[in-house]
Amino acid sequence: MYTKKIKLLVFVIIAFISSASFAQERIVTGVVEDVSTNAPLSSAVIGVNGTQNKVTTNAMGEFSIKVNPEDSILNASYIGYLSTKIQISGKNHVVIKLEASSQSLSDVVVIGYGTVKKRDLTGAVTSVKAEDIVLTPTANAMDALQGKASGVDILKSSGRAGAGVNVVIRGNRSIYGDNTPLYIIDGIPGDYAKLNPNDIESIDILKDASSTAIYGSAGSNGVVIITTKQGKNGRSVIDADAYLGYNGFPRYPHGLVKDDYLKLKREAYRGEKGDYPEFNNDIFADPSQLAAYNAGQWVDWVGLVLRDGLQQNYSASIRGGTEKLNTYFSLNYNNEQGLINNDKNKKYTVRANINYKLSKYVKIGTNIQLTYNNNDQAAPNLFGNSLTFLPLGLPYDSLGNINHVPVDGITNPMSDQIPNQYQNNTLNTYFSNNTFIELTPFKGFTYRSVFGAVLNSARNGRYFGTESIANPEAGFSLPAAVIDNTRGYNYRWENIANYELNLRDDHHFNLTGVTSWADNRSEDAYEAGSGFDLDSYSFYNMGAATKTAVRSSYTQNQSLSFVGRINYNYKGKYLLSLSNRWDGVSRLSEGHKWASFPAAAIAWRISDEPFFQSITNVVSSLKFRVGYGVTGNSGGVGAYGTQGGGFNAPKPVGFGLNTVGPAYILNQQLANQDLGWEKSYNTNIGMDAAFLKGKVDLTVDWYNTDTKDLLFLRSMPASLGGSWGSPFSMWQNIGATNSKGLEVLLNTRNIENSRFSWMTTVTFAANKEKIVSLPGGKNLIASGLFIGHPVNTFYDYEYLGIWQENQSDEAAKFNSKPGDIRLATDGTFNEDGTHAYGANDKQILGSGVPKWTGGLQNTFKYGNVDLVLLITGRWGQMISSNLITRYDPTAGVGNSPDDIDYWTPENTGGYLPRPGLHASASGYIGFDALKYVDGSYLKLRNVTLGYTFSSAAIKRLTMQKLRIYFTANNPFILTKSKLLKYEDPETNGSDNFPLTKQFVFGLNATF
Amino acid sequence: MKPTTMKRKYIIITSLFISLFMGACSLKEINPSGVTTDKIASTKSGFNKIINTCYFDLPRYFYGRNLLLITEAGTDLWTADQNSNNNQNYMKYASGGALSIDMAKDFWNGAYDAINYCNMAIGRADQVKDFSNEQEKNETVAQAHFLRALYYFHLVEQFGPCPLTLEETNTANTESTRTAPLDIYEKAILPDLRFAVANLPLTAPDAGRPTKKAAIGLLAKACLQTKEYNTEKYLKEALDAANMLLKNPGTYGATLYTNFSDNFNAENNKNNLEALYQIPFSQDYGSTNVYDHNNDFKRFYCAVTGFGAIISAGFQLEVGRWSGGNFMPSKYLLDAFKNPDGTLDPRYFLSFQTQWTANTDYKWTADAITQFDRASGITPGSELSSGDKAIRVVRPEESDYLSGRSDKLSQKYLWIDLDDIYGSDMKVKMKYTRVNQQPGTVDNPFLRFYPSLTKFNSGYLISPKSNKYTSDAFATVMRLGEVYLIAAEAEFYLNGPDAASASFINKLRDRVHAEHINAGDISLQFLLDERARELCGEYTRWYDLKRMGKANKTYLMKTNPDVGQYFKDGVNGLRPIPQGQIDAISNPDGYQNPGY
Repeated sequence: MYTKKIKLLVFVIIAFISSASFAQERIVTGVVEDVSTNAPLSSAVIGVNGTQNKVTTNAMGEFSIKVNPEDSILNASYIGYLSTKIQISGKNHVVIKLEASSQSLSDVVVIGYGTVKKRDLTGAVTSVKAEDIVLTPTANAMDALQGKASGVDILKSSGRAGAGVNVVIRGNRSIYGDNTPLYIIDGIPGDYAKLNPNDIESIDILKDASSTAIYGSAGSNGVVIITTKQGKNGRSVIDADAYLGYNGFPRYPHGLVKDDYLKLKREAYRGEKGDYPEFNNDIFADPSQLAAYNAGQWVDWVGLVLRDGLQQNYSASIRGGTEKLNTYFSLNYNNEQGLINNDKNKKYTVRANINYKLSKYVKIGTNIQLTYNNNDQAAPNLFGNSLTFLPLGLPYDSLGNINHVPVDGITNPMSDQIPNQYQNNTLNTYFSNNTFIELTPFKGFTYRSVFGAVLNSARNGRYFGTESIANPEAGFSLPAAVIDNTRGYNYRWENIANYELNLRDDHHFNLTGVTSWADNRSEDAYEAGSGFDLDSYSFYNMGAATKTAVRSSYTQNQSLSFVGRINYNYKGKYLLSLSNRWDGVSRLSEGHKWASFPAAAIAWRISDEPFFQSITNVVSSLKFRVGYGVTGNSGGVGAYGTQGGGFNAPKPVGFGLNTVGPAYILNQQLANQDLGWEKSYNTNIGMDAAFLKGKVDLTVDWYNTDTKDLLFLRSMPASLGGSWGSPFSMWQNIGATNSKGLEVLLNTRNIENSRFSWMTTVTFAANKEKIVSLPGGKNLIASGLFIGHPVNTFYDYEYLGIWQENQSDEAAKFNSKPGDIRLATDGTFNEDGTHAYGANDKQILGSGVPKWTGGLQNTFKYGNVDLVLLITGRWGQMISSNLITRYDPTAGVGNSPDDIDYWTPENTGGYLPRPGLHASASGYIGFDALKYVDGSYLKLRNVTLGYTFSSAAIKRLTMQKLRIYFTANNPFILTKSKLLKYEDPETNGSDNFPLTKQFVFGLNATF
Repeated sequence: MKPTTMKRKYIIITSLFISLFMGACSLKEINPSGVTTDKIASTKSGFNKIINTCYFDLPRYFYGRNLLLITEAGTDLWTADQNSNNNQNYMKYASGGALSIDMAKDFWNGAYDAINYCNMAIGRADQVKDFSNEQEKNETVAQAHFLRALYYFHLVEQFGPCPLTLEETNTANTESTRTAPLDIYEKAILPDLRFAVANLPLTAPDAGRPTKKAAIGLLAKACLQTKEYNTEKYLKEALDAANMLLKNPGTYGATLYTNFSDNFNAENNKNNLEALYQIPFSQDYGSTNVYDHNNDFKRFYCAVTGFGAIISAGFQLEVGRWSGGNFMPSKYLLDAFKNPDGTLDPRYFLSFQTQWTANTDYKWTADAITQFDRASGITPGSELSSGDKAIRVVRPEESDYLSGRSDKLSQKYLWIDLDDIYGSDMKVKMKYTRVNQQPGTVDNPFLRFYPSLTKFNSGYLISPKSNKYTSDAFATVMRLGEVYLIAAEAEFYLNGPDAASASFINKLRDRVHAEHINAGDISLQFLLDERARELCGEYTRWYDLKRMGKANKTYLMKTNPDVGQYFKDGVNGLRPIPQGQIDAISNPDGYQNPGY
């Protein structure tokens, strides 16, 4: 091979020289590249116009063709590209730029252990490019992908500073295993949340098993491949991005005050006793509270607690390089101040990507990332407490300090914001590096060896002062402090060999072999103490504790894998991919550690067939894909999950005042010596089409996944014993689930001219999932698992309304009164004609799985102005809204949200039951039934208006590009249920840390 | 470099890499911080950890936590505070609604969790290499026998037939069989206690470890309880065990306090002479959060802050000043203290707080005057000073009742007439008819104030969390006083009402200076009444009713109709098996107790 190449080179050079001297027959050399990416195009056909003289380009896109003196024009054609003619008179070397007939087909898609052109793709892969990722200003790259990738359900459930997102691809398959996708960053598993979104070049999401089976045991939940930006040959480019955001206006209720509060309490009294109270001390039993009421000391706790959040982000990168060396280097600082005091997150990121070409055959490189996070979390119950604590008293003393006891009998919900009273700070240092050497000893063959290391260390410190109202560390009384140090060491070494081979130009093979070894270790050292004499020590002076506890732990697991893959295509028309991965992990049982995960896919580019050419004006490209693969899931089972045993607990029991009894506590998990893999069997049928010369791109995928031998954390009967008071459980391979669905991705270029362009992207996904079988072949009610229904299913009483006064006789049969909750029953009655609501009346109400999710993005450009509107939707899911059941119907002093609508004899349309009928919320049978509501919503997720300055205007600033923009995130939400007027359904009914609207002003500059 | 040399170099590097790779890889699990039962059980110090774990669930789920709700609530003795629907699952059998299927889950799960450790200790005692002798081994393992008996005792009495396991769980067997209560007594509870009687030491090395007297007392109690299952086979053993303790106070170190109330005093709490067995609590250890330690002291207090002269003043920890407990005595319980001659059994005042003083300077308001129906002598501005008498609950049997009653509404403090709270129909009076102010029938304002049981006022209060307060007082599982009543009852079953039976009872009456009774006074109902007088609130009443065949609607309607109206015969005598157990077993059909 080598020698052949050298001979060719020599030949070319000689030919070149000779052509100059003998002007009869000459050689024209050249290279064919993609016009937009400059990527070389192999197998492109170069012909001399009007002759049969043709050659094809090699893997580097190079060609060399003999031409006669009279030949002046070359034809260059390439499947999926617009053919072009090139003048060669007087030229011996040409660079031919081809434009894709459908732009996206030439895009390179990153797949497992390699890349392919989109046109050669056989699996279901969605790609998102850099510009779409940074459109949403967020510190979290996956947060920015909402609504942009079909079949990828991304939810942000908390408005805490630095809160992450929950990502599920094609629904939940596993019950107790893991349902989170595998994240691969530059080839090595990593943590996307630690990345600076500006560093990302592309995100490719592998969804079907024919693509993900290459990741074997970890591939069941889809694979997200993140590629970071690399330096490019050419002049150095500096990019600077900055934005400043304001976070506020959460959809969140306030607590009742004044007449509204009093009305509820008076109604509660009336509901209980039949008449309104005569005296206010019937409501405010505590004399001090009565005095506060008489003094009119009302407090809107939620109003006091909420403040404006701010987010700022500064990012700078430089990239450039020479032919031998290219680098990318970036810095990022992100600071998010949450909605409440002492909830904040600061993130500092440094990245350096360096590639060095030692010689023609050897390339080395390294990607280094260092992320430092400083996160302060506010105490968790602040919002709930603010909604439900008595809205009376003096929240601040005369000096403006928070009053710990604003009125006798009530603690201040803001107690944890009193200086030095509550701290929960995490410092996290994350270092990730992967260093590679790549050898290309002969044509078409590359061997790459990558060593990756992710070192993660975190220190979490918590302090609970004597006035803190957060739950202190278990086993300690206030004041208490905790320091928890964790370290993770994750090493991975992968060797990837790839051989690309063309046989007679029509048969294209790509062979890949991989070995992968991973070793993950973590250590934890924990110390807690209490009895400090000064709150100012916080957790920095453990020596001052009078009572302490320490513990430490270590876990380790390893895995080893071998992968083989053959990609074959015939004339780019018939595509075949076969792969297998053999995976072994340490945490499964002896004899069950190894498994293989095969996959196969075929695709047919029907539009390349001769018979299709007549309609290429309308359908410019059409491809069908069918793939099948087996993937695994070992998530959920922790290290040592198959080992029995227990642990030493220093002092869970005691004998007498100070005599501590060390105890031996069994692990909750019983050992299972036969534990193997959970496997998913996935079929994917897809179609990629382009219409009207690439004006419309459409991708449709249908899939079916059967997951069998679920890694099921089966609860054992409590009568067998347990651990720490809870029954044993055991990982078993039992049960099965099925999910199937349809995904559509549609890109259209509606209008495209030099002044104005309008593009639309539509994503749509519908996923149906269900449990097919469960242990014992029966529903597991206490675990909320039902055969034929999704994992996330709601089972409870069904709310039918409120018993009205004219229904009192009927209500009495159900031991209910007018104003009680009317519930669906199983239809049975006792002999005396009554029915007691009970467990048999509970039923499946719905599930948290949406009927469909979708996104609609419109991008407009007019001159220098650009406008993006992104709408996302999630439709048909049920949520369980804890805010609704924050309603306190009792005669106690507890408060309720101010958007409640409760039944009274005068307000017969109220949704909530009559206050006062029962002594506690749980006394209302079916109280929880109130909270299940249709969570369907549409959201204007992002509106961005940008202006790019003309190059003339910024030349003096040495800038190449300057764009300023204004973004509104989450500005408008439409919910189907009017009960969700004061909540964002994306949080799935959480009553804590609401999501906010965000208004951002930013700029992007390129120097 | 020549291509061939380069090639060779790469081949060398590559093969080096590959050989390195193969060498580095192993899929063995290394677990340096792991511990196995085999290892731990091989030494005495390790074995003692297993023994310690057997105690784990007692303070976590049973005594000091919610055990009062399943042993005292729902009986003839109590109704919910102010006769409300609070804690209705326990207090009022869900007030006619659906009982929570998991109402007793903690007891089920907790007991079986602990039983597995007891089984482990009992089954592995022989693996320990370094016990110095057989006696040390038996003394150690006898703790596990005692505790297993105690856990099974509660299981059987709460749930009826239960799965019986006497061996450590090693396999994931999901089929579960329920064993009849008497079988569990005969196969587990009684033999375990007999072993514990034979082998436990006379004095405990630490507080909280059972001694011989604990085992003998529990054996007597368990033997007597078998009467519930229609056998008289173990009554003799109950009597013998009781006598063993009663006749040998010097040997076993169990003596009656001279004063009844010394049982409940703070100074005796952590070294109680009459207690046969106590569960310790301390801030220095615990399987629970510290703020969930012994909460029994909160259970019995009426809502004294319902009167403005008493404020809760933050989360103060003054003994006897709490407000808003869960249990209100029934009329039956209060009547039980009434002697046939109209006097009061002294244990009434020894067991209940009926008076409170003001802790703030208080001025009557117009509203309060109307609310508490004051006579014309009380006008807005009438004062009570801090420290003055603020509330007194008075009953007809008290000597100054008649004189006080006539001007009860003219007092600056609340003179609460017990007859204003309870009706002759044995129910709590929910309404009151005002006579002085704005006459009419209104919600009973006096209902907030009722005699409050003081047996758990041991103090040791702590505030481990800013808005929580709890106690580190020890919880008494059983005291010697009860053994006299067990003896009397066993004697009564065996030989009918006789002098021997009466003498056991009189022994308890002597120390409170109550009148003696005669053999002729003794009947089943008398024994129940006497147990109420002596033991109300002491974790036993529900079991007493079951044993004596009184856990039925007829009896409860007669004694405590506020509760009895909701009792379902054939259902509410047993608690529902928790849903988690039903879900986890492979044979759920017919497993649940009837009616749930």
